[in-house]
This record gives sequence, structure tokens and C-alpha cells, in this order.
Amino acid sequence: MRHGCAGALMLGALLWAGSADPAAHHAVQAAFDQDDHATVTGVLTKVLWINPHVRWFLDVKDESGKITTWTISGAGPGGFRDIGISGRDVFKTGATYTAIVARARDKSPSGYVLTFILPDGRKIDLWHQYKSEPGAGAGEK
Amino acid sequence: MTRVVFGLSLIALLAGDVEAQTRPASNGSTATPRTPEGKPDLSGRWGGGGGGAGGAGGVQAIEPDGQVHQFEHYSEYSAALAAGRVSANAKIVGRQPNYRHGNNVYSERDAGFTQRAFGNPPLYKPEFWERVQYLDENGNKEDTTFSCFPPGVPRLGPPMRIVQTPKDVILMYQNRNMWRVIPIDGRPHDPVNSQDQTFLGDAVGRWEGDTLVIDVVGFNDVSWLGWPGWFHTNNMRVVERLRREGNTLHYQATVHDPDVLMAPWEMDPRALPLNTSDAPYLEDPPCLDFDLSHMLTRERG
Repeated sequence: MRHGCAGALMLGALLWAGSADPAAHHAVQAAFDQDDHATVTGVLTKVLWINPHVRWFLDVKDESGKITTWTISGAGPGGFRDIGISGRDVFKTGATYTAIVARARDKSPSGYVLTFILPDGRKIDLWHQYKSEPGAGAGEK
Repeated sequence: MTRVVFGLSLIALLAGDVEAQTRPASNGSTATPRTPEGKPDLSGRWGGGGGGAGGAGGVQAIEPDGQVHQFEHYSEYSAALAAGRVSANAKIVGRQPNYRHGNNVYSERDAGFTQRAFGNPPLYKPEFWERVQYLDENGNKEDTTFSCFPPGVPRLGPPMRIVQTPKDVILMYQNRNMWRVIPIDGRPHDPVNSQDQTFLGDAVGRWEGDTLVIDVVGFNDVSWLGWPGWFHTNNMRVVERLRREGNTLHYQATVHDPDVLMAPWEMDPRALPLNTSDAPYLEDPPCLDFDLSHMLTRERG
């Protein structure tokens, strides 16, 4: 058993060492404040399945009827691919989605997605754990 | 999901890239396969091997009562949902499992600390120390990979696929879907291309024993050696060494840039296992930056 674990660790390390580096990406925290959340609901008009971060464009209508296009950023396409989520099977243009995002520090209509609420009401958290969740942020401020 | 099979099967067939049969050596380890010319056969899919292996992330579905369903892929979750094994009220969680506290901010900060504390920096001449520090501190703006330029050689690292012929080696990378065709027939550098200024340079290879040595010149000064501000000049020469031992590919690169470095820089060596997966090779989607204009801090990750 011990050898099996060691072998698995070694194989994992080797696979990591050999993995192709994805397109370099900057720190999410440099552009988006993970402690400043916004919830926006709108019509998904476009999805860009690109590096270094997948992009969604939501047309969000305010109470006066004015439409603002929000640019939503997420993990890289490789990360989504690893868990089997593609642009077409989950994200359908023309449908209405809600995104809970870490807002852009410059307060522009953009954010880094934490959770999507799909048109049928299902929620999907993406590469994020809320501080209210068990074990999240332990030892952090 | 966009999946692209790069037609590698056809390339492989044309190049005679039939995966070499391996057999145990007398000492119990796997023997290094050789070509009919007697050279080590570097052909194969190496390391992560261009994606498609799956299982790296995982999807959870958490029921309102706390029950957790674990899936390798979203498609498995969808099938379970359709079959009624998971309720539509279950919250879906898609994330890599190795983030500290599940938060990519911590992951990025950890990576930044690790790179600086345990990195293998080139030794720059003292008159360039301030420039390296400036580039490191302002990497969000200065590191051209963030504005989607290619990483270049040697930052690109080892290939994920090699096709070897008697006259050349074809190195393929998932990163930006890049490829390099490197002659190994003894020719010198091309007199024009070696004066060019490119990300991949002008490369020629030769065998030193069982090691394929690739000499590369003709670079630009746009790419970096590594993200903490490790710049280079367009007089850089890179020597890459590839050696196969059984089913492991060893990759090592040495950077000669005497204009700015006090000594040649040895990049951290890499060892890649042979990847026997027959999964499709995946396209690396193009890169388009939206974020640089929104960055208000200089934090890296």
C-alpha cells in the first residue's frame, strides 16, 4: 500500500511536470476584489472560450430599462475542459443567467465569476469556496 | 467542447512514427527503444500529452441535506441528473481540488511566494538587478505572456509530442498549438534565420551519444525566461538537451546570454513519463486579454 501511494505520488508529480503550461495568466486578485461581490442577471449574448480566461457577456437591464453589458471572467478553458464543462452544453446564448461575481476593482461592469445560476435554477460554483462554507478561509482574516 | 485531433496519426504514419516496442532490459528496467539507425527513438506522447486525459478536476453535486455526489466530469453529473440519481436542487461545484481553502486567490498567492522563495533565478550582472526588480514588480504590465505573446524558447518547456525521423525531429506543444521542425542532419544554422528575431529561434540538432542536443539562436528580446522579471537579450543562445531513458524523457535547457548574465543559466530539468493515452489532442484556444486595463494592483500569481 505504501509503495502504491508513493508510486501514485511519483506518477502525479511526473504528469504535472510534463503537463503543457496553459497560457500564462495574471493574478485574479489584481483586477477583481474577491471580497466585493455583485449579483447580476441578464441575457447571455456571447461566450468566448479563450485563454487566458473564459469570457461571458451578459446584457443586464436595470430598473429604467437601460441595458449594460457585463463582461464576466472565469478560469481558463483548460480548467473547464478538465471537469468536462464546455461552452455549448452549459452556456447557451439567448438564455438568462445570473452570475455572482467578484467585482472589478475599478468598478467597471465586469467581474470574476464565483457562481452561475443556470436558466433552470441550478447553481454551479466555479473554482471558489465562500467564506461561509465549512472549512473555508480557516486561518485567514 | 471544441476538440481537435491534429491529424497526428497521419503525420505519424508519414514519418514512420510507429510507437517503438519496448522490452525489459536485463536489469529489469525498460530498455530505450531505438530507430533502425541506432539512435534513441524520442517519438511519443510525453507527460500530460496534450490534454484529454480527464479526471484532473472533478465535479461535485451537493444535495440540500449535505449528501455529496462526486463525478469526474460534468457529463457524468448530467447523466446522473437525467437518471434521477441527483436532484436538480443539488448545488454543483466545479473546481480544482488543490486550492488552499478552495480559493484560487490563496493558490495564486502561494504560487507567487513559492516562485520567488524557491525559484532558480538566472544570475544577472549587477547593472541589471534594478531592471529585473522593476520587471518583477510590474510584471502584470511588462510580462508579455499576459498580453498573449508566446512564451518562446525555453520558457515553453518540453514538448508534449515528438515525431522523429532520420533527418529531423518534430516537437509539438499544446501551448498555443505550437510546433517546431528541427533538422538533425548536421546542417549549420541558417544564415538568414539565425539573424532573425523570433520567439522560437533558429534551431539545429545533433546527436551527442544518446542525447539530442538542439542549438537555438535568432531570438527576440520580448519573451522572458521566467515570470519574476527574468528577461533576456536578442543575443541569447539556448542549448536544449533531450534524452530518453526507457519510458522517461529528460529535458534540460541552458541559456547563454553573456550580455546580461554572469554565467549560463541552467533551467530546472524536467522528466516526463511516456503517455500511452490515445485520447484526442486538444486545441489550446487562442489568447485574448481583457484584463490588463482593469488591473489596479501589482499582485502576481
